[in-house]
Amino acid sequence: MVFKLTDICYSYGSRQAIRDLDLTLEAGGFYAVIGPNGCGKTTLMDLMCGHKRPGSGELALHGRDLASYPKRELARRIAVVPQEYPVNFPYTAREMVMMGRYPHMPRFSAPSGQDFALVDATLASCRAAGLADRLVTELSGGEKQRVVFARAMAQQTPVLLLDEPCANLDIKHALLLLELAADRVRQHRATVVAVMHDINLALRYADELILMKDGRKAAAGPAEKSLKPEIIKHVFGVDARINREPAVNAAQVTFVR
Amino acid sequence: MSTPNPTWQKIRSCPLWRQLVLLAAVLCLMVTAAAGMGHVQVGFFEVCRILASAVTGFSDLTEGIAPISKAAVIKVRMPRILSAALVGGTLAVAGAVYQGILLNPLADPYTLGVSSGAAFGASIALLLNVSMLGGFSVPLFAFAGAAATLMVVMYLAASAGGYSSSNLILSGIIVAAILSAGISFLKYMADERVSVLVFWLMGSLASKTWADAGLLAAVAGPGTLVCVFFCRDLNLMSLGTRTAASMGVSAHRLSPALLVCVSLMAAVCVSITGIIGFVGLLVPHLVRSVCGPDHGRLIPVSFFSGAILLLVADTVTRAVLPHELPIGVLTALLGGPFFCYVFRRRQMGAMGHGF
Repeated sequence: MVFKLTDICYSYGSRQAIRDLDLTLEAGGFYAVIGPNGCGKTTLMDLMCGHKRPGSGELALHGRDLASYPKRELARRIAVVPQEYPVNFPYTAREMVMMGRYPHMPRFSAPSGQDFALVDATLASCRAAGLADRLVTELSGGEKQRVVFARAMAQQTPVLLLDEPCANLDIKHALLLLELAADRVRQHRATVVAVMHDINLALRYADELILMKDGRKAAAGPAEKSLKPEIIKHVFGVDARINREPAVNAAQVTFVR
Repeated sequence: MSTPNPTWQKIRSCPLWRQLVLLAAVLCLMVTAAAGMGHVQVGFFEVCRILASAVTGFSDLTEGIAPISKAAVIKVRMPRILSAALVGGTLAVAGAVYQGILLNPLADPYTLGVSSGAAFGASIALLLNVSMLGGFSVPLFAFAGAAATLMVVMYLAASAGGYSSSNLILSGIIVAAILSAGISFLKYMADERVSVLVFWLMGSLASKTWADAGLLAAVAGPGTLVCVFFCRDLNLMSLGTRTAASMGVSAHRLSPALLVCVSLMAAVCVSITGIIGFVGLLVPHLVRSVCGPDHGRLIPVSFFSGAILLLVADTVTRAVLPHELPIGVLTALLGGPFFCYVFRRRQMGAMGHGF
């Protein structure tokens, strides 16, 4: 068991963002978090990467309280692709991805040849090799997102937290990046937790879904079992039909109204 | 268009030590050249001999050089020249760190009210004619003012919900506004002594002593090393606290600590020389647009560039202009328009390079 969340609550002032959340996440699992805007998905991500501390409840990583990990050690275990990543300074894409290696480098040593090779290979795997020498400040939204994703991949952590990793991507690159994340799960038994808005992509790549509404867990479990039209109606207020799509070997949702 | 042009790319990938050796050599050359310039002209090689004899202790190196040249170089010019270089370098480093942490290209070492605090402290000392501490009374009051202001600003930002960039900048502006009203009041009270006050506020490197230069070196050296030590953390913090936190940096602890460190560095500079603007804003900008924003390179290169820039400016006002101009006025007069130029080029996208 990688993550164990017990009775987690978190509030912004008087507004409760997460209420009594229980979750257990295993190694080798791809988890998709879905839910309407403002249901606490990003807050959940912030809690799980240690950026915010839960108001109450217990949050353990590998059986140890998350807050007890030194920040640098945590960065070797968890990589995050945030939803927003303001870039105010003209780093090149390669410099940006190299930052993903910082948690692994001793403070005074320069990046090794291995680090450089890994950075270039990661950029190439994200189809961003051509961006390596370009300035991040001048990339398009989607290009920037691929670079930030590559940085998280270069961090080579057993846990990947993705907050809407496909928000700015065209469908081809969205599929590519999700495939890369799924590869990590299959080949390295990594744990991926991805906040996703596209339910069909979630059904296709995730092993388990976590549906949230008003800071609570509305449903959770294996993708095809946990997603029922009634639950979609309850969580999103939308009528939907679910069919199996043999071409992708997964259930797919059609929204009726 | 958006790929850096080849020259810049070459500079960005050139080994850091080569750039630093080059800049250090230029700085040494400037120091030596500047030491020969002024009312008493001393030849370049004579200056070299005088400096060599001062460093090594061999007095026969200076044989045949007029004692007045020796005194001018060692007692009068060198402390001033070194002070100028150290202040320029320190302000540039402080500016680079400020801009990185506050994610704001307009930040400079005075963003957190250090200059207004120092000015207020100095005004009080000058107005009340405090002299119990001899020549150090004004600098000490200025430093106390700067440190107290910094504490108030940090406290205000923290109580407003944390050391976020906008909280810190706003708190700095509020406190600085109050203090500048206070300074105006003190000026009004000062009556005919107002000229001393105004002159101090404009900044000057005139009549700096070896004690001043030593104090500046003691602050600039370790302070810059601290900043270089945290250069990778600064890179991550310049991407925002959330990213920094997810990549192993406790930004909520490190950023106030580093801001206090560089503010105190700036405070020492201000206390000794008065307010010298634009160096801390301009130098990191220019260095970043040439060498890139990586702090491991930005900080040391800024140090040397700032040192060279302020040394040249001070030498111009001291030895070239017919009448000595306050250095703060000169840097603003030259730096301001130049900054407009850089800003315009950037806005028109001709630089293709952020700032």
